[in-house]
Amino acid sequence: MITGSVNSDLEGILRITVRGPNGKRKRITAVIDTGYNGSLTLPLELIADLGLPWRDTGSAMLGDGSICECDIYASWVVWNRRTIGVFVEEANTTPLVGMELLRGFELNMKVERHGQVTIKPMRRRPRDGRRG
Amino acid sequence: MATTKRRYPKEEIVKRGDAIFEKDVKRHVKGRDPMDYVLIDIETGDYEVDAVHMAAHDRLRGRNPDAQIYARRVGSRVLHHFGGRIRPGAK
Repeated sequence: MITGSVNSDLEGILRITVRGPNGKRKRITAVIDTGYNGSLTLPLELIADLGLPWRDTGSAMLGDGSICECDIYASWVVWNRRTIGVFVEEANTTPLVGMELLRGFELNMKVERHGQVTIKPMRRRPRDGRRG
Repeated sequence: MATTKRRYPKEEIVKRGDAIFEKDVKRHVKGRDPMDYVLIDIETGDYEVDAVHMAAHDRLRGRNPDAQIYARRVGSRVLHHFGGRIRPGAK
């Protein structure tokens, strides 16, 4: 099970470890964003610091409906006590955990200051079986 | 692991990738789930389609470790969205 907490701005916060290809790792604070359908965003400085390799480039739609081009990088994230490969999107904001990383898990948040966030694997595999 | 760097501006990768998609790939992916990932090597036109982004990527890069890859969905050029989405039919 993964645990986190709700901050005073009512955001669900997780502390997660991200690793680069050469073993360098960082413990980061990320906000759970159910409106983001990717896996994880990281600021460019952190991507460079971890030495994450570029994978591909695509377009992302922002909250105001505008579209921008963004790079995707490979990373490794400790998730539910396992290290898994995760594609990361560059975004110069607080890191975001999106719905793709949460696929196959149950998310529970007590939405109050210092409320508990728990994320646990679903008892059965997700019906669509997607991952990535 | 391949450590290919991006050699084109992001805008050019998207522009060239979308042009290849419209001209050569679109007709081959009709009937696929609109949320499936389409990855296109913009220099060779080679492509991969999969429900899993990483799976499509690894197959394509496996054939050409130096590939300059554009990523989109079958039914949309938007790979990911943050927050709001355009409502169908909205002006």
